[in-house]
Amino acid sequence: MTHKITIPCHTSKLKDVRDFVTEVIRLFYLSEKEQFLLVLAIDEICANRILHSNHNDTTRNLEVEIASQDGTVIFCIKDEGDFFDLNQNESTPVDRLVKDRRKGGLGVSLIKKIIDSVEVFKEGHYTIHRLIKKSSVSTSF
Amino acid sequence: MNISANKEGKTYVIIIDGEIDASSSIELDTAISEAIKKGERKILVDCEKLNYISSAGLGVFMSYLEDFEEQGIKIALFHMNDKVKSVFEILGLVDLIDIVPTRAEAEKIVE
Repeated sequence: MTHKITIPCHTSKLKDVRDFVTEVIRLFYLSEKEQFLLVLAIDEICANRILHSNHNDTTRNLEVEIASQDGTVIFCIKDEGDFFDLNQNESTPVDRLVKDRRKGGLGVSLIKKIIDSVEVFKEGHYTIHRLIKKSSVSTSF
Repeated sequence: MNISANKEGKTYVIIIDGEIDASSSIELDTAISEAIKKGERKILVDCEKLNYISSAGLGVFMSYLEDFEEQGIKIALFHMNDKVKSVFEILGLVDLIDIVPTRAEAEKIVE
């Protein structure tokens, strides 16, 4: 069984994504803190896609799908924005960001620390991010 | 998300209520920027009602650390719940900014 939400590409809709992910992952055997951090990771990738690849363009949609398979939780984020493989992006050290007074640059680091693996690929004109988190999943899912 | 700020004696208290994400972080940015422009030197941030923070919010705090250092501004965050604090911990940001349990401890830091 999969769960899905579709939102217009605008950061004002990130709260809808967080509420959706929070509701779905309650079904997993995860601590409250683990759930909180998973919501954060999905929020980060969606914010990244909305801002940097879709430029807050509300004529475009972003889709988040959650599924379980073989003891893992799989998040698929699908949108029509520019392709960017965050695996190729080397995280800037925090002290460098501080020195440069940069507000951005922490999101990818957070995602990599929370999620076990991230795959990025094109499917037609869509860019797909597949985020995998190892977990025990309840039978109700 | 709602942010308010009050001058209380020699300290300037910023109170955050709600969630800070890529959409709302600009409000936190404005609040800190205004405190600096006003010449405040002792800033407390009440996080009791801060339910969520993403990297956008972390980035706002981080982007002002050099200004705080250069201008002799002391800042401390207090009453932060464990889940929100864990976001700072993941990236080691707890070593760069003071986060303490109580307001009394925060006041000592900015004294």
